[in-house]
Order: sequence, then structure tokens, then C-alpha cells
Amino acid sequence: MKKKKETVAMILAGGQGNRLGALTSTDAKPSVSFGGKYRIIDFVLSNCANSGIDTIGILTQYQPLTLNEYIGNGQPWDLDRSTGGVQILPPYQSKSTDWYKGTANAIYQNLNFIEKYSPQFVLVLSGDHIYKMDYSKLIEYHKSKNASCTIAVKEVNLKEARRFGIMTYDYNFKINSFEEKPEIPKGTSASMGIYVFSTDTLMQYLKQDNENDKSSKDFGKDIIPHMINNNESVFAYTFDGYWKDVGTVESLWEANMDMLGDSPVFSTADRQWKIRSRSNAEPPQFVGGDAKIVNSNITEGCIINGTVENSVIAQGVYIARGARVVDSVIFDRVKILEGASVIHSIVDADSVIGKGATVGREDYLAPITVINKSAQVNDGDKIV
Amino acid sequence: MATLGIIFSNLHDKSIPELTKDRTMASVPFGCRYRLIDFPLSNMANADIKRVGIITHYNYYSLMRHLSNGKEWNLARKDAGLILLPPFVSGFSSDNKKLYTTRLEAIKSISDFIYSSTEEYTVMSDSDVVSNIDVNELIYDHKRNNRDITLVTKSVFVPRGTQTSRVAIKSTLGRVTEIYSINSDTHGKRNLMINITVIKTELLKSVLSESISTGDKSFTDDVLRKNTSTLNIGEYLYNGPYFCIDSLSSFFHANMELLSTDEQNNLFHVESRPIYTNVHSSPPTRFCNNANVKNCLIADGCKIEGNVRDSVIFRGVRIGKGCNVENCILFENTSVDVGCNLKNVITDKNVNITEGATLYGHTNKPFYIEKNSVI
Repeated sequence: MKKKKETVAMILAGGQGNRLGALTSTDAKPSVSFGGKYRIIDFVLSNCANSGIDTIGILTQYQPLTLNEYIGNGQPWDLDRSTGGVQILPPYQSKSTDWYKGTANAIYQNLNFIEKYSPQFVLVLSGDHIYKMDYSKLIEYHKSKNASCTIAVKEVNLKEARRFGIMTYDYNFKINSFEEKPEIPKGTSASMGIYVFSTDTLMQYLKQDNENDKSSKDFGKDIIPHMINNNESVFAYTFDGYWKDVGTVESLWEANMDMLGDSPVFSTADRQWKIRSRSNAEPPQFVGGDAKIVNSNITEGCIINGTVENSVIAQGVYIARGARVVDSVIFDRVKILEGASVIHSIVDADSVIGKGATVGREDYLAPITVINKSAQVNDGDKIV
Repeated sequence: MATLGIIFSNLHDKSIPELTKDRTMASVPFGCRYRLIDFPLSNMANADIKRVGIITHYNYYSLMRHLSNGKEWNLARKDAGLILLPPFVSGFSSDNKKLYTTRLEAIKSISDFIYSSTEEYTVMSDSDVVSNIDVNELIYDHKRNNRDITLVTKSVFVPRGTQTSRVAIKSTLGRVTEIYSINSDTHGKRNLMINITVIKTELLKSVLSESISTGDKSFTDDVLRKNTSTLNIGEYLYNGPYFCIDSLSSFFHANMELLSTDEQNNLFHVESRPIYTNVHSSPPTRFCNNANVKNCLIADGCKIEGNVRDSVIFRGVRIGKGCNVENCILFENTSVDVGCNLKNVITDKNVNITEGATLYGHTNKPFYIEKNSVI
């Protein structure tokens, strides 16, 4: 029996995430904690599952252990399927393969995975973006345009534009220029790093690109501009929902803060579009008699006896009496002891903040303080 | 040594008619994110029992939904695993409308399941007791003393005038000598049976065959009491957390006792024995700008804008601005609109308390609001 699927999704999760500094010293970027209960990759996986895409390859080559363990057989996202499902695709050695040299090269080296399912379309996604998108609508759009490639586009402000792939398109949404991270942006329509390709076109361009020694083997730098130069039908799909690339400490912190407030900018409470994650059997959270919690998201397994303001607290965190957590993101199982204060910081998993210690400062123009995984901050220490 | 697990899901349904109107005792919600069956089932799973049969009777839809294929308890196995045993009604029997009413009849109704067991021991448990017991140690104790049957007890103070169907035992040197019912004159510390039993599977099979031929109905009377001198029946005194849910009021108080850090630690934070449950994909709970929460247990997926104290809040509950919620148990998806005052109230699933309502119950008689109702 032929295992045919209409769409195969390929998630680029190889990013070393240098800009996330200490947070990625032992974990790949997509497995960094987010929003109290999630890992960054939960968003793209849940989007796939909710869009009816059940065949997914995750391309990874950096610190894959936690990611592999986390994804497992894909069961938390309902992606444990008898054909397809979610598979981790690490680089492997053969006559023609090697470490992944670029985003396009990573897909090229796994063409055999795609071919196995003979899909009409290949959806290329990033593992490190926070958003909710129905890919089935994107694919419908791609079909209706009879496109060879469709790129999801979001308007950004001019100041940010230099960080993205910037494109211009005509009245019919056909893209006529694309420039990756331009010095002088021609506009503010940014690529979200979400591409749909008709499989034949993708194969053709990847194979051509592989022959080209001068190519950096990247979608944004090589494949897409090449297709546009050849006047392929490359279309823009505009998206106006929440979308955030959490590639830096600041953006990761901001995206967490976006989930706070009485009506937050971004929320995972939509029951029609659940964001799923692998979670443990934690007991309910306990809020003690002296606790004070304002404008914060807190999850299961936590014991809160201190003050928490404008913060996101992940599973199993302990905050002692007299401790204060303000404008911060606290990862799993952190212990914040009596009288300690954590301000404008991200504290990675399993750390202990000693009694009376101070982490971070109330200067919001200064960089965010990051505490490493399993760090021990001694009693009374001051860390900024 | 392989052990078989059997859980009775319905035996005590009549004790809380409010909560068991459309669910089994086993699927009564408890402690924010659990159902009562999570405790006996986790106890068995934590002892690495690989085959657990759950005897059902009626209203077991919610139980099936909750347990699914048992994967949360690591019991989704190729062989054995979790087996839901639907009610057995013989098509040939003249009174085929009648289902079991006693423990022994319930066991008879699953005779095929028991006869096919190859496990050396069987652990049986009811669903009305919340505990975190080391079942491995229990089985070890049973083996070491070379017993036929081990009954687990808990030493509990029974005040005069207590109405209960509980049974107490007396034993000398760990061997049970007397099994007696609690009556209203009983006063003082008693070792109550908590209906967790270890029995050699071969013995269970012969008890089963015998009771089929004699028509015996009661496990306590016809099996235990009759045989205290002929069988080696022992007592295992359990010291851990214990809540017996035998009335709406005891259900209410048990939930309230969970607000003590000691009870939480003893029940939920035992290193090698977590309590598992069906995991939903709820987002973290959102405390809004006007939230004021003290001394509460809270599950995920809630949105809290008001004042809440000394309460147990289940998944997906919404508490609006200006509300005062005190000493309450709010089940899944309860929605309390702006400006409500609730005290000593239990709301069942999907209840909506509309704007400005005031509802007060008494600590000994909490005000219960039925599933799906709008107040």
C-alpha cells in the first residue's frame, strides 16, 4: 500500500540559538520552556495537528537529546500515527550526506523522507516561532493561486525589518522581490519563515541548488530569490495574527509577557485551537495564605507563598514566604527561597535562588538577567 | 512476583447520591484535577502491577472517558494493562435485569477474568478511599507472613453516634481474630478496614467457585468472618494519608483538608509514588490584575479576577471581578460571574453562577449545585 499524504511538514529545529545564550547551552532552541507550560516547539506541532497535518519531520542537529526525549512518539500532540506521525530527522552519514549546511540543505538531505509519502505539498516551518496558524487555509490559498511556492507574510515595523526576509508583491500577491535581512529594507512585509512548496518545484530547486557551490543552501538567501528570478509563481499569504520569533532573550521575555493581562495579546486558552504539550503528573498548584499574586500565569505543581507580579511561572516552582518575583519568567522546578527577589529576569530550570538573594534590577532599559539551568545563587548574593 | 489488580468502581455509589447521579464513585472529581479512581489506580501502577481490571456497573461513561486506554498510568500495554470489565448479565438467566449488589457478586460477575489470571497475588481496592499506599510493601508483608489474605486497616478515631457501613477488625500478633461492624455506641480508636485487600489468586479462585455453588453473597460475612480461624488472615496497618469519602460532607471536608501543606506532601509529593491522572491540555491559570487569592488549591486553565480563599478550584474555572469565594469546591468549568458571593458551596461541572448571586451553605452541610445548572 502506498502511504500517500497530501502535505508533509518539515520543521527546521536545528538552530543553535546563540542569541539565547545560556538558555540554549544544553537544550536546542525549540525545547526551551515557554509560557509556563510549553516548549517553543509545541506551537508549531500543535498548529500542524490542529490543521490536520499528521506527517512531520523535525530537522535537528544541535543538542538533540532533550528535544528527542520531549517529542518521543508524538503522543501528546496526537501525532502517534501508524503511517506518518512525527519523526526526528538528525543528520546522518552516507555517500551524499553530511551535517546540515543550511536550511535548504537540511531538507535536501531528507528528500527520501518526503518522497516516501509522495505529497503534493511540502510545508517548511520553523521550530522557534510563537503563533497560532491554520495551515490548511494556507494550503487552500496555495492551491487557489496555483502557486509553486507560497510564503506567509507579516507586516513588521521598519526598525525591525532588517532582521527578516523582506519582500514586495503585486496587487495579486505575487512576490516580485525577496531579500534576506536587507541593509536597507524595501518595505515592511516580512517572511514568517513559513513556506508551502509544490513538491516537484521544491525537488527541482533543491537539486539545482545543491549543485551550486556558491550557494549558502538557505531558503531565504538562495532558494526563494532564485525562484523569483526565474519568474516562478511565488505568492504572499498575509497573516495578521500574533507571531513572534523568540530567537533572543528579549523577544523570549516579551513573548511571555504578551500572555499576561486581563485580555492578553496572545493566549493559549482557545479551546478550538489547543496548544498541547508533554506534561507530568503534577498536583494542583497551592497558593498559600500569605501569597500575593497579581497579573501572572502560574501552572500545576507550584507552591506559592510569596509575592508574584507580572510573571510567568512554570511547573513545580516553589516561591517561599517573603520572596518576590516581578516581571520575570521562571522555568520548571526553580526554588526561590525566603526573602529573595527576582526582577526582570529569566531563571532557567532547576535553579535555586538563595535566601535574601537579589536577581535582576528594576532598570528596564538594561538587559534581562538570565540565570543558568541548575544554578545555585547563594544566600544574600546580588546578580544583575 | 506478578500481581493482579481489581478495582471496584461502584460499590459505594449510594453514599453520595448527589455526586454519583450520573457518574460512578470512581469518577467523582477530587482535589482539583483528580477523580477518585486515580488514587487506587496510581497505587497499583506505582507497584508495577501490570494488569488491572476495573469492575463497572452503571454510569461508567465518564469513567471510560477518564481512563481511556490507561496510558497515563503506564497501563496501555500490548499484553494485560488496564481492562475495563463491563457489567455482566447472562442472557440465559431468568432475572437478567439484576446486576450485582455486593462485593462477592461483583467478583462472581468477572469470574472469567479471575480464572484466566496467572498472577500469584491479587490486590483488590475500592474507589471511595483516597490514599497513597506502598502496595509493594503491602505485598511483601503478605508474603513474608505467608498469609492467605491481608486486610489493610487505618487507625481512626470513631466518635459516638457515627453512622457508617465501615467494618473494624481486631487482631493479635497481626492475625485477624474478629471482624465487627461499627454501631452508634462505638467510641474511640478503631482499626477500620479501608477495603484494600491482598489475596492469593488461587484462593480467590476457590472462593469464587465455592460461592458460585453455595450462592454466598457477602465477602466480609461469608468469606472473611467465616474463615478467621481456618485461613491465615492478617492485618496491615496503613499510616499514610487517608480520606474516606462516604457522604457529601466527608467529601467536602476531605477536599478542605488538602489545603494543609502536610496533607499535600503526604498525598502528592511522595518521591516514588506520584498520583497520575488524565492530563488535559489546559493553559496555565491566569491571575488577573484584581485577583486576590489566599490558601487555595488551583488546577490549570482557570481565570481568576476576584477574591478567593480557602477553596479548591478545578480546571477551567472562571471567577469574575468583585466575587468573594470562600470555603468552596468549584468543579471543572464552573463560571462565577461578576460580583457573586459564595461560601461553603460545591458546584458540579459546568455550573454557571450568574452576576451578583449570593449562595451560602454550612460547613457541615455544604450547598451542592447540580451539573450544568445556571443559578
